[in-house]
Amino acid sequence: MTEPSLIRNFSIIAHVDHGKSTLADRLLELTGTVEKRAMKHQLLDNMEIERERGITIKARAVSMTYKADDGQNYQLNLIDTPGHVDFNYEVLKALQACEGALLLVDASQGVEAQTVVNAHLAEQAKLAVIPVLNKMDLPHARPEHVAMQVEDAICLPAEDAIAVSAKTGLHCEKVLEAIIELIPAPTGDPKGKLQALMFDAVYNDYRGVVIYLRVMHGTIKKGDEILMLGTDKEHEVLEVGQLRPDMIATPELAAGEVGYVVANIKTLVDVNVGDTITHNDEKLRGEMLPGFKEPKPMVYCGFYPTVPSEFDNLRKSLEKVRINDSSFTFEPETSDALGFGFRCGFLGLLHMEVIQQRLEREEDMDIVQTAPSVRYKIKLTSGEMIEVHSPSDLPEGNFIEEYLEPITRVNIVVPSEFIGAVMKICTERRGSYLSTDYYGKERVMLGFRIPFSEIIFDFHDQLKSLTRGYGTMDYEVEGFEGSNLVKVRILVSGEEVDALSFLTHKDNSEERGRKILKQLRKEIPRHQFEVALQAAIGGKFIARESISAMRKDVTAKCYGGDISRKRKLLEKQKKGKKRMRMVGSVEIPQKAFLSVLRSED
Amino acid sequence: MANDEQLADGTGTSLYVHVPFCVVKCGYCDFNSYVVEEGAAHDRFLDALAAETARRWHGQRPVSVFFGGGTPSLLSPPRLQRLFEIIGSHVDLADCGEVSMEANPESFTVEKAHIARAGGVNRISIGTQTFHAHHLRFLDRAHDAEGAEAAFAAARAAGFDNVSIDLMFGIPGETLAEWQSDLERALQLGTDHLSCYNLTFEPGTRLQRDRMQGKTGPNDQEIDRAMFEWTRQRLGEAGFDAYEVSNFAAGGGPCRHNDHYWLQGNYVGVGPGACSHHDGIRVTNIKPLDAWADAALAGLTCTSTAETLRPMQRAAEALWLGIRRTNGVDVAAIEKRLGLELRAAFEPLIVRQQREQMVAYDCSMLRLVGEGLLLADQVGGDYLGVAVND
Repeated sequence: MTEPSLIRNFSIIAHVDHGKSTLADRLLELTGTVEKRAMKHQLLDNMEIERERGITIKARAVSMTYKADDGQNYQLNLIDTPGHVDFNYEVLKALQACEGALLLVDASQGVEAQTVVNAHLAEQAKLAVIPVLNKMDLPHARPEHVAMQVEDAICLPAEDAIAVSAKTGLHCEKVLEAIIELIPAPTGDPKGKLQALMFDAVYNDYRGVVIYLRVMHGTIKKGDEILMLGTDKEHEVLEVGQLRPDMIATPELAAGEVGYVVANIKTLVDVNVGDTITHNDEKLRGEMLPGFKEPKPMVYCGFYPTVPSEFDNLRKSLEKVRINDSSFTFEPETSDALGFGFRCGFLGLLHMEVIQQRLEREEDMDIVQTAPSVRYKIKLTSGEMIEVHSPSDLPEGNFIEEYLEPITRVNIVVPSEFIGAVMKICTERRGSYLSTDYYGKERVMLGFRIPFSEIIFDFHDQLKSLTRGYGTMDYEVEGFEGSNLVKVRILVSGEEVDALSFLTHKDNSEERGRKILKQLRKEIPRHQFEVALQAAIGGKFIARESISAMRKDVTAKCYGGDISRKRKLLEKQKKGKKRMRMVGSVEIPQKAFLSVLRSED
Repeated sequence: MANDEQLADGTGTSLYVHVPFCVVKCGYCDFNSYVVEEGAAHDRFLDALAAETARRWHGQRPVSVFFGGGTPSLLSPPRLQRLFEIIGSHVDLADCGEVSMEANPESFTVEKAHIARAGGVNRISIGTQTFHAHHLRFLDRAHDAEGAEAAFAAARAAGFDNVSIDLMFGIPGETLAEWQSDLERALQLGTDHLSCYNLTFEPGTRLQRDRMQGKTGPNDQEIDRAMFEWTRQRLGEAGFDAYEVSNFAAGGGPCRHNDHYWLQGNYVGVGPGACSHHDGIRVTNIKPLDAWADAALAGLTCTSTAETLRPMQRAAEALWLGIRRTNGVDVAAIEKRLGLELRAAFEPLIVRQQREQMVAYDCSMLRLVGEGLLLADQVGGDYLGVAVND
């Protein structure tokens, strides 16, 4: 057990790409936790996808021993946080396990949307925040300027900021001293009733579920019977220890310490981040820590196997992926056009993309993804409130009293020259303007309330292109509001294609219907007859396109005797055709089902 | 009028000789050709060709011989003469019913025409494509309309009584009137045979790249359709026999060599990238000129890839290839030749095609009719679909 006064628990919070993982690596190296030559580039990003995208999806923790200038050996626990808004709840839980945070800002880029959001989360968790300006090695670093932005945006005095280069190691030791000096030691009684905050859990093929936790009060050790208060599940502790960064078993973890617990748990399904762990024995049982929420998906879409016979394999793959990501949900659904598949729920758009890529890369699944939808609430005439996230679940119109749609608070940080462009795209998407905050002279954060459904389609891409890449955004779902929703049905040759139908606000229905038909027109090949494409609300048609009939298809060259090449090409096309979905007598390529995702171009 | 005796029957073996040189690479062309003017490269090609032919042709009488390319007429007169000597030392060209050579207007002279005639060639096919200057430019052709007429005259002057013209329609921006005038000009020349191909955008060509970048694209299908229909109507009036979807024969009769391909006949191809077929085994030679020549000169096999067709795949291919012949394809004959029962596999499709009035099917002869002619690639391609993953 380490004396609490010699423990410091901290996080690093930053916008994507501002160098969080690099700084973490440097601290590990300076404290001798990891030898330089043993360092894999950026140790904390475990999953391949994380490293590729430069973001940390799942939080990780690591314990270091640091001999400070005062001659004492301190235990420093770094709790890494996911760097994306989809995982804000996880970020908050990780922050609640700390007493302080390093707010890392790129000294060449300045304050971005996530910098502000993360700083606010740190405030919410009542942390001591130390501003750190990174990338001082870059020639265009402007530390004074960016320190002023930090002061304006987050009210942290500019002169407190430490300017470092995590890449070259410049001044990184100052960061370690600041952690000792400015971040309070944890409080909590090692002899009290056990209260441990689970801030993350991962699945390990050999050990089962590994729980990462911060002990707030009391002590946990091998052999303890523990209880998870949120799910009421009991387990026996097989091992406790610290991450240095490999799992090193210790006799116990006491108040103030951060570490891991292995308790013979086979799946992450009943393991929820934010839950409180205590002793099962009623006499020793502690209270639930505040702020626990069960993860609730915000975005839904359908995943269908490209080949219908792969349905069972897709189910197995989804189950496997879910083993180490319990925040994602799935249930079987059927579509007339796509057959058997799954309706899947995600914390947000990035989360959806990450799962889709994991299915493709780790599980080698070929999937068709349908357009994402948000979770709507519907008040029925009976007074009952139901939730709907698929157009096919919509009850009959005469049973509906009111539609409610999720509303987000969106923060966008841009150079001030782009204010007009941002105003335009946000109001086009039914956004209402809330606030403007200047950070220095030329950087501004604009706040809007925008229906969530409006930002799940290419909003981020459009923002990036309209602001020449400078705009950054962050969003948070704030609640539900009444809305005038309609279900737009898409018909191909007079037959409804359920997988293409969608829910949208009435004011946008025509435009979105038209865009989707235009896209379908490009994706569906010509047939020997004219193919009519229609969008309809109820029985009323709101848009129409047609694909004219194939009128000529004779090339009939002799290919210089190279018959193999031509035949193979045709055979390949025929194989591709087997992957098309038949709606009536129209063949729809699977790609077309994604066309609803791209309303632009 | 062509009669059945003039058509090949699919038996025997043909010989294809690939001469891979061109003065320019045309924008639409995806054949294996090289813009190489050095005489030494031409000589090395001929040396290698001699070696490969000696290995691969064993003196039998071919159904037909075809000198294609590339541009065979590009070779200088002495080299052209040597080409015929090389092939002539293995094949009695004088005794062969059809010996064709492709010629391009920019390089075909009366002198070369005489050399070809003396070398045993009895049929010349002139790559004309169009008589319109702006379309010739668009296609990167190295000649003008007058050059094409001069080439035709050169063939006649050397005594060729079977001269074919290759034309292309559906060039981006081309009008029906322009195409009609191309046809008239070819008819005025008194051509004995016409090949009229719809321009296609092939992978790897300059045209396809331009299309991807939005610089060009195919014409409206209605225009292509009108051109196709006009071609059949006008050439019919002029006494030509539309013996295949894109080929029309007058006095010279059908091109037996191409017809042999459609009949899934056996052939040996020599030269870089040349293809061969023997009883369901399809073989392609090494494509790069130097690599092919290295192999041939070292006395090694020049083959780069080979595939053995599965029986059903072979049957599907026979239907796909044969359906474009006006006489159609004899399903019972394929069954007999391959020793296979085809009806169960193909009849559902054929019944559908009959219902859609794309094909006629009587006395085991399957042929294109009506709209089927305009959609020949689709009708034929559907047979291949039956054998995919069978």
